[in-house]
Amino acid sequence: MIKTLHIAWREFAATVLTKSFLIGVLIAPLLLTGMIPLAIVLVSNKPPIVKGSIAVIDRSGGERGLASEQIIQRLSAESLAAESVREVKEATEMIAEHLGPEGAQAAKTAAAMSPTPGLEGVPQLTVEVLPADTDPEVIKKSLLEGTVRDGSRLALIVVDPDAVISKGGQFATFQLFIKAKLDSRVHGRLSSQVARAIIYSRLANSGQDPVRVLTMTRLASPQAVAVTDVGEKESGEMQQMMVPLAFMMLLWISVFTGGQYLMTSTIEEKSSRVMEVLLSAVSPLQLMTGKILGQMSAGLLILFVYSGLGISSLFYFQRNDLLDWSSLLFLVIFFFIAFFTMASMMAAIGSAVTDIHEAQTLLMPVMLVVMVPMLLMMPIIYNPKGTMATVLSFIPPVSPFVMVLRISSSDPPPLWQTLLAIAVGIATVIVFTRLAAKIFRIGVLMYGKPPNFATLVRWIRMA
Amino acid sequence: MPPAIELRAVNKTFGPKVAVDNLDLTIPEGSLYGFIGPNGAGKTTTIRMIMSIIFPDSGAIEVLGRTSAIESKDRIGYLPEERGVYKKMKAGPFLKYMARLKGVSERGLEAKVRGWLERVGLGDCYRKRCEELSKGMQQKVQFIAAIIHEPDLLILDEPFSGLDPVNSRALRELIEEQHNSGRTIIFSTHQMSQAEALCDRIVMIHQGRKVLDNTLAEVHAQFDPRSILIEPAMPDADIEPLAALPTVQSVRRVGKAVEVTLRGNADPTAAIPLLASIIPARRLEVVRPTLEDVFIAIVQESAADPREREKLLASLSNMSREPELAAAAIARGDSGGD
Repeated sequence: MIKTLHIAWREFAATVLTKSFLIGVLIAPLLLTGMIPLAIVLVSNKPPIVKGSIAVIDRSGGERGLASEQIIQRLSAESLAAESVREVKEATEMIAEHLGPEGAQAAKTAAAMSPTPGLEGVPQLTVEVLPADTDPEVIKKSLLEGTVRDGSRLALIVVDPDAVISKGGQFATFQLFIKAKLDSRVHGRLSSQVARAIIYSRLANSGQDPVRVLTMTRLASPQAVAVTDVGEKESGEMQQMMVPLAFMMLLWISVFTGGQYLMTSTIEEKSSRVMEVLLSAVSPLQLMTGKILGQMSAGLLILFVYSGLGISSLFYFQRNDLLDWSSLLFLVIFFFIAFFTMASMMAAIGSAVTDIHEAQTLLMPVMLVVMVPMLLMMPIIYNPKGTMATVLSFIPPVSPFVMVLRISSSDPPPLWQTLLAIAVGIATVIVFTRLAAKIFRIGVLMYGKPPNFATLVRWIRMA
Repeated sequence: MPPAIELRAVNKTFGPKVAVDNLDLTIPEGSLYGFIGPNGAGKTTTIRMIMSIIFPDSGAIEVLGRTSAIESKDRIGYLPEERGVYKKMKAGPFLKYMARLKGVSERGLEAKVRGWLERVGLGDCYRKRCEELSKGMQQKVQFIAAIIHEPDLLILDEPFSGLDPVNSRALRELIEEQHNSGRTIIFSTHQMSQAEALCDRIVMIHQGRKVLDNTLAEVHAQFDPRSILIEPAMPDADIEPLAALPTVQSVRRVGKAVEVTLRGNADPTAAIPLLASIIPARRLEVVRPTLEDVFIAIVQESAADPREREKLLASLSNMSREPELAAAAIARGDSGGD
């Protein structure tokens, strides 16, 4: 036992106390966390500078050309800038709703740091109202000339005759023709502003007070609040997905990093021929156990570092309510199951080959199997109690990953399923480690031709 | 005194290949045993079975009074043929790690490791990474790893391979020192001269079978010398009178020397004065059969089928030898040599 622990400690130290581990596994996520606010600042949603004229053919014939007047007003630089400000404000408020006051503060800071959509940032548009009988085809041709910056015509808006005043209770709409190169955000804005102008004109034309009606019809849609037995939770698609996603990725990364290190270190011991020297002191089983324990500690370290970062950020944004502590316990249980399953496969492969290239052929089917939870992640999150999710919960190598997804989802599986999956997992671990031990015992001393699966099966029978 | 190692009717096959065939072997405590045979003879397989790294298909193995080496691993020092070090690990910590795995306590371990490194001339290598050491230096480190826990039984598989003459001699001295302190030592080699220089007992294995198991003295007695080498004082001396002697079977010139082969019942000690009286000699010696000669003799005896014998001799010719041995073999006109 003491010997096994010595091996485990060496394995752990040789893995963790290296520059590549410290940089790759520990510093990278810290950097990543620091990158997020930076990314918010850098990736602002600012459309390119656009300058040109918008031709309007107003056929609505509303009172005093109301529609075209409204269009002119709403496409003015001041109005477009105000609209941008309003959008940023709404976005900030939305983030605040999701992340709590601290998050709102961060978002506000980021918004303040991002270039304010002042007058110089918005499209410089001049509106030319053309006579109602102008032929749109002629204007359309003019759209082919010039660029989006040289002040030439950018778009043609044709307001249909019945757009403002209904004919038999039916309203018509408007048509928008644009230069092919016009930024989608600009013509999106164009479209929404014209729509607003027309609605305003309709209201004014029918004798209503447009401002009053628009205020009355605006209703902020509330954040859905999920009522659970542990209190009320605001529920959103993002949150619904974030936690299971994070859990699953955590499990995957920690299990895989540990498994990979285990395989490479076994291969290294074989190729540097230190293996038999070790076997003079310990049995193959002791060696394998020690190595697995050592790499498990490394995997656990990754798990704790990453989940620690995740949990502390949840606390920081005061969203610790998203976290169910019991699912954290299950995460650790399923980590052990997933790790031992993966580690036995990796140890067996590592012991059977002499260098990493030979390992690729044996590794591929393992990879295919463990990619399954990655590929099916979305359907499982959306439907955690579906047949597929339920069936996969009990199929060995993917079971722990699927269970972690399901347990942390908004609709966790019944306890008996969790317990059954754990039982299946433990049985798998027992079978897999035994098979791996057999392959390991024979494989570690085999040099020469890289084995295929048939050879591995023969070794299992031999041992 | 119970034997250090006892093998009874041990068999091991790898697929169709019979690696060890019905091997009986008793190695008394305190002996220095040479395990010889050409490459692929089954030496390493036997040693691995003794170490319980692999297990025999049938037969019984007892090591230091236990039925498995696993139970007495800490009392055995093992230098495997396939040996290496952790490249990134420093030599000192590597030796400490190996010692800890063999049950040596932490107390005083560092001083012990430093002491050993000092002894083999690697005093400044404690903090050097193993990959920075030369192959010979690494081999010394590995040897220390095999003996750091002061084992009762030392098994060395091809300890001399890859060593230069200076390091070979240093290692030989270390092995002798271990032997003198009462340890049982087995070492395998395909260099028969090394075995001849070190061992008091020899086991020869060929194609998984034991073909010889005796003390070196008995081996020499068994393969009675019947040749005498004479270097005449006068290079052009007449050798015809020698051939006329009744005890002499044949005479031939070998370079400057003359090799006289005696008849089967002749006593070489009686023949020497007689020969010396006929030809004044600068040098006159009884040609002792080397282990290699013995091995060739055994192979030739055991293989009746000439094609089989060719194969055996070919496998023997792969064995590397010391230059003087090869020269002697050529000098004697051995066809089975290089």
